[in-house]
Amino acid sequence: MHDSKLIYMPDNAIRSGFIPLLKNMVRDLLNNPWLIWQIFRRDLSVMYKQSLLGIFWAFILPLISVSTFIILNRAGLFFIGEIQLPYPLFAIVGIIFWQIFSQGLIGSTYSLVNAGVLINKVNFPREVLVVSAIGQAIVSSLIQTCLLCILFLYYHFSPPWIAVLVPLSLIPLILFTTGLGFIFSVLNAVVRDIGAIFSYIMMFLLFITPVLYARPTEGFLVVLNTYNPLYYLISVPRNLLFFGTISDGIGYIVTSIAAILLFILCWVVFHLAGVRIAERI
Amino acid sequence: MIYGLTDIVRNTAGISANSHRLRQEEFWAVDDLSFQVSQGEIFGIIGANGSGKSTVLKLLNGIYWPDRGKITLRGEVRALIELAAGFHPLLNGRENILLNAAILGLKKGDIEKNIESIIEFAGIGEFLDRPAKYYSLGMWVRLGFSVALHTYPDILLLDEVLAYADLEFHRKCIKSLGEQRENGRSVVIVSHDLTMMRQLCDTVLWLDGSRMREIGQGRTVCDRYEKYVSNTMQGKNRISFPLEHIPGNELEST
Repeated sequence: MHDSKLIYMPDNAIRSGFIPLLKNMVRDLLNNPWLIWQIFRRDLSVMYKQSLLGIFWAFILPLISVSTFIILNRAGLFFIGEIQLPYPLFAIVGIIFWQIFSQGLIGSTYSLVNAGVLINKVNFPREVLVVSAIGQAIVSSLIQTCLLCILFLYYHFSPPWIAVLVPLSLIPLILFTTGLGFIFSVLNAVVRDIGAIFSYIMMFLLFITPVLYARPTEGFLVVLNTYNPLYYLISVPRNLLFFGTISDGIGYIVTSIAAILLFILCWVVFHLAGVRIAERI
Repeated sequence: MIYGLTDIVRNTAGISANSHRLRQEEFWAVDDLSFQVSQGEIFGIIGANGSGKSTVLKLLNGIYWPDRGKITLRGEVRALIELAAGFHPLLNGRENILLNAAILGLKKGDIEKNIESIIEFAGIGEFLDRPAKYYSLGMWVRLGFSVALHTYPDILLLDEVLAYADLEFHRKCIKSLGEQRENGRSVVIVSHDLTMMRQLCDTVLWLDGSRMREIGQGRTVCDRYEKYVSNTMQGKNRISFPLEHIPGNELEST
């Protein structure tokens, strides 16, 4: 017989104290790498089963987005700004990094609701659902990197050697997305309007963040993007990839620290809300 | 929705949700319940639909926490509360076994060690490599029960999962549950199958309207429950019955 002892009482999580709570949270995730892998593999294989285009869906969405903006720019309806690169390269990288955020956040927001029966019938660390959704977004981005490689060849562009640091530079974006994913997954489980409104919010954020255009040098968006974390989390890795330089270093560092703190705080909230999710979903 | 948000905010802020008091439109799913399950005991829970049986299992499984009182469990707990929780219809049987076993808490090494036993016990033959969407409910039961059994838990929770099993698998499960008892493992089982409960359970708890009506020797409680239902159908039962205390039971008051 195993030696473990479990005690369930009212308000269990908050009774234990903050440090034991953090230890439990980390232990839950570290003890379940196989579960995370299985959930991730399930979601990935189900996404492409019964699909004619399969993984090519990962290419279609960025191509459509970028093509739309190229057409609008050439028609004089959209100004992309001064870019020292072929625009498709600039835009595709922006979309790839953006999709880590948008697909990761939308997927994780719906992760608990989509799990449905699993949440209130089986006891398992629910964090794995959010982590798996973020993993899906990262895999989609990796698939889209193949498209990027084709464009690099087409435009005879070689990234600088320091571009190997780009994956590391994306960690704050991933933590930022995961943190928000924790919070919004809980909220969406209780208030379903949250998920419904997200696609509109994403569209809005895509337009105001310089993902598909250069950062404006004047006007309202300059001020807005000074305080927009997504600007730093996307533009800095992009500049690192193309030019080997870190622009807006201070803003990036501040945003990264904020992303780490947000991730920890939101994870704690998610963990504390665990039982309430099962009651309300 | 408002209550859910309020509880989440209170717990996040480190404040008690004060869930020991009912708010408007809330009700007690299980109230004033206290029992013990010994090591190696098969404990049954019976009662009408909506009497709180599944809620008791979810409380034991840690899916819900009690609003009052305390639940203490010694040993590893595994549950089969939903027929195919964790299964996905687009994955085949083998993939679903891996997924379900992982969800129930098995590690990779344990699953690899036991997968052939799980497949053999489930006995779904050539359907193993077909998508689960082609399975009957009985086949889902076979897979789910087989996986849950092979987690070798100290405490196994089962919620009306054998209703769809065919005769052969039903008997196989009864036999394996008996082996659980011999191996010093406890089982808590919810079922409407009184024949099985009489045969299998050492102790049975009868829930009525979210409260404990009776607890005692399996056969005795099942007989009384069956008589009560029969009398109800004939219009012989009064509106309320006094609770009976069966001598010899140790009822823990918390």
